Amino acid sequence: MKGLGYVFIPIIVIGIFIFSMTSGLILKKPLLGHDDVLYHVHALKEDVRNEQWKKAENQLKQAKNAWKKVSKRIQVSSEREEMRLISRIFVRVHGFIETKEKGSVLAEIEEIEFLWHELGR
Amino acid sequence: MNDTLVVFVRSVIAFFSLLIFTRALGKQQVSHLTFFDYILGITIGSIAATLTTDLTSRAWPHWVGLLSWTLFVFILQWVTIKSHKLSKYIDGEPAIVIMNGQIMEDTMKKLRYRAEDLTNQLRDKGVFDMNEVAFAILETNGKLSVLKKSAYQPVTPKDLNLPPSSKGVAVELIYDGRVIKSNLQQVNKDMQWLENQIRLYGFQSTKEVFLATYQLNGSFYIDGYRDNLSQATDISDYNDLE
Repeated sequence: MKGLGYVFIPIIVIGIFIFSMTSGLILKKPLLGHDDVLYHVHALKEDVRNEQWKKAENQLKQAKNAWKKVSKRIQVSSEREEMRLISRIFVRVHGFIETKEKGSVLAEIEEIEFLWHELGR
Repeated sequence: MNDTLVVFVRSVIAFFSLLIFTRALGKQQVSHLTFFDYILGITIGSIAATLTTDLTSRAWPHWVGLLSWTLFVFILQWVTIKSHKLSKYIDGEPAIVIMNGQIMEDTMKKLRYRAEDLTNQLRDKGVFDMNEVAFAILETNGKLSVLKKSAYQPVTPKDLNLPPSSKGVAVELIYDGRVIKSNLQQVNKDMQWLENQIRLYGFQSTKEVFLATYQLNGSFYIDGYRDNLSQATDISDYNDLE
């Protein structure tokens, strides 16, 4: 029994470590509700395309809340700089929505989508 | 996002990964490590440190690096156990730096081993006179093995046809001014005996003693905090260097 512990405990520990370091791809997906970042980002894109700025602002707020929840889950497994960049883009998008700069918002959203795809890989 | 928390979690991962990996690599003694083993150890440690604090990249690639280096070391260990020839190729071979009392300058040059290193390591072996050395071999782990000339080798009880007597292990009776009572009991002595002994050596109290040991053959060693040296030997030649 003692011998088995010597082998299995390290294997289990290493397994937990590997999961915690590679779980970003799984944990960035919506798990608890109100945490689907990509859904809100796509909805935001649609609102901006249709120039519905009030709705876009509301959608951005929900996207930021979802991102706040997801970022806590993936912070161990993801690259810090990418995460910070996504947060900064959300701030910039807020500014562009206020000034109703459609092109700039859409460009920033494209970057979020790209970063989201890369996150945890 | 909390940097402190992430660094802490990464530290746990790095620390226990290193622990598991090094345990898996076996119990090679630090004194037996070759120069290459040292470099491997430093590299693995460096990767673990980066895994902990470099938050600009993900932990996973660093951990894979850690695992890879450990695997390479493991493979190298396995290869050197299985093949004597490869073991010689990887670890190198011992080199004779003093043969029949003569220094092998060419060998030393090849090894980039200085005369200063030689005298240093000889002193480390308790050899202060080069004339005493018959052979000196530089081992693959950088240690020097010394064979003294017959005339300088210590006489053993066997040489004198004397029955060997066991010295036993030295037991500490006073350490840093404090009496270790359990050790005193172990050697069947009491405080009265200890106080008499330290007075014999010119000390007034146990507080003046840094270290006192006793061996089962009756040998008593004592060293006080104050050292009575009329002239200290200076081995430094730094001021003479140009």
